Amino acid sequence: MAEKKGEVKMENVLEIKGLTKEYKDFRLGSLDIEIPCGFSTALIGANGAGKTTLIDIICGVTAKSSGEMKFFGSFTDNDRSDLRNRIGYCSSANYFPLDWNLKKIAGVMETAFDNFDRQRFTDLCGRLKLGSPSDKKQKKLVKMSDGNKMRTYIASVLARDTDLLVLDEPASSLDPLARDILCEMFREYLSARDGERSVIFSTHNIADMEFVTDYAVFMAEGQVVEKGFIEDLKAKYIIVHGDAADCKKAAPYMLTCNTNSTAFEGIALAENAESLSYAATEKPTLQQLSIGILRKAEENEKA
Amino acid sequence: MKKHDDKLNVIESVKVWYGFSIFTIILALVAYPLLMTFAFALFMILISGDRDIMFENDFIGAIALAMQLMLIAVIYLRGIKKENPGGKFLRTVKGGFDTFAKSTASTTLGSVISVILMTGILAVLEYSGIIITFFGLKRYLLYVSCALLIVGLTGFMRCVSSYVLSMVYLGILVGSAAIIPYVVNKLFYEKFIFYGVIIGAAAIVMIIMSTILTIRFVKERIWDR
Repeated sequence: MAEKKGEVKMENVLEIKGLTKEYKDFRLGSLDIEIPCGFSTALIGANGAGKTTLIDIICGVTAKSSGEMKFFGSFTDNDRSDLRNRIGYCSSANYFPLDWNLKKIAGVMETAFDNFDRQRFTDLCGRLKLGSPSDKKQKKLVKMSDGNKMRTYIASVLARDTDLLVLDEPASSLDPLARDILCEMFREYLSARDGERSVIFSTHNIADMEFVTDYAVFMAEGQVVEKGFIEDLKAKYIIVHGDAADCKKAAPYMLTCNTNSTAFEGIALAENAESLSYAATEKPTLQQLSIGILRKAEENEKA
Repeated sequence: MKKHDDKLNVIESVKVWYGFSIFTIILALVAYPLLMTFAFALFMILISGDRDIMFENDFIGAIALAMQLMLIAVIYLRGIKKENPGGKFLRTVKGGFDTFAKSTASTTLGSVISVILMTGILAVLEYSGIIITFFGLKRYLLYVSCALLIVGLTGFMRCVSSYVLSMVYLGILVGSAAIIPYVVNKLFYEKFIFYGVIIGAAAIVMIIMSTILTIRFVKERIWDR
């Protein structure tokens, strides 16, 4: 997905309008989000921000309280039977019953979905060093490490020929090497039908997943606080470093600011770069951007 | 736009929901309780040196039925709550709620068959003189009817939201299953065929009611939330 957004046909794989979900102690939304088609979108937010709830609603695991969702340009969430076949979903934990093993998962997935490819599942299991579904000796999920459980979930969902992948925290329990393989698999998934397939995933491992993130939706306290293509967001914000003495002068332009006895650092809008010329500025990484945006949201919430 | 055919048949629904065919589930529901019961009986005989301790009274029927009921409860509760292992996966499979409803109805029928089969095996063993379970084959119908009534009541476990309450409810049912042979033997001196038919009819109504009501309950109170 190296193309710039202007060069690809811009249609949204998912359009969400006024989506809400009410719990006794938490409210999601009202959310308005458009997820561009053909890209990998990260949902970024602190614990309890509403990422998992949003993913569960998108995938039909949890019912919404109100609002509208439009998938692939024409399907609504009333068209679940079509969506179930086109969306590959996996949760962050306990996705399958714990007494299942690779062989059982392959058998069940073949029955449960029309587009599951057993050979591809076998290949993916091999690539993720899980063994084979045809091995005589099979290990149940309950005996696998969290990382291997997640690898199993990823292999099962990628073995389906879907148009949209929705994964909740796929990287959280993976080691760095497996995260790298996951990024590679995302890229292969997207490039297999360039511009037609999309990925949505939530993550806390922002630095590791930056390479595979094209678009980001930042969430805090059940609300979307920022969204956009990564390159656009990196152009919109700057990281500012300066002497502690200049901190007060910079404060009106800073969105967030950390200070110590000698220096300050924070995030500001790039449009204020000229007003902050006495300080050093740089393009933020996704990790810096996320911390800045989420910290600002937290401060606003407190205020 | 072309609509996708999104329904699984009954056999497929059970396979997706449980990972096993309905026949394997019935086999397991018959074999495991019997094997565990006879292993327990053997252990008791070995430590007591007295064969009659297990075979000359109603322990076999009581233990086997209690164990079978616990297994039935485990099967009934599979994937109902999305927080449980497999709960989220099972909500995204072909057919969605329809798959749940079909698998629930099938496993309820499977439970009924397994109870009839297991008690039937016990009756055959008694007829062969190998064991004495519920004091006479004449009371077999009454024994099965009482067991099926408890299976019907077990179905309501799916409507109990609280984990603790559902375990208490299961404990009461397992306890009730364990005393069925005693109740059958001690309380029904006569007219046991008449009572067997009456309780059997009540059990069928209870099983149908609990299946329909729990499917509705899960749809309204759990699935669509």
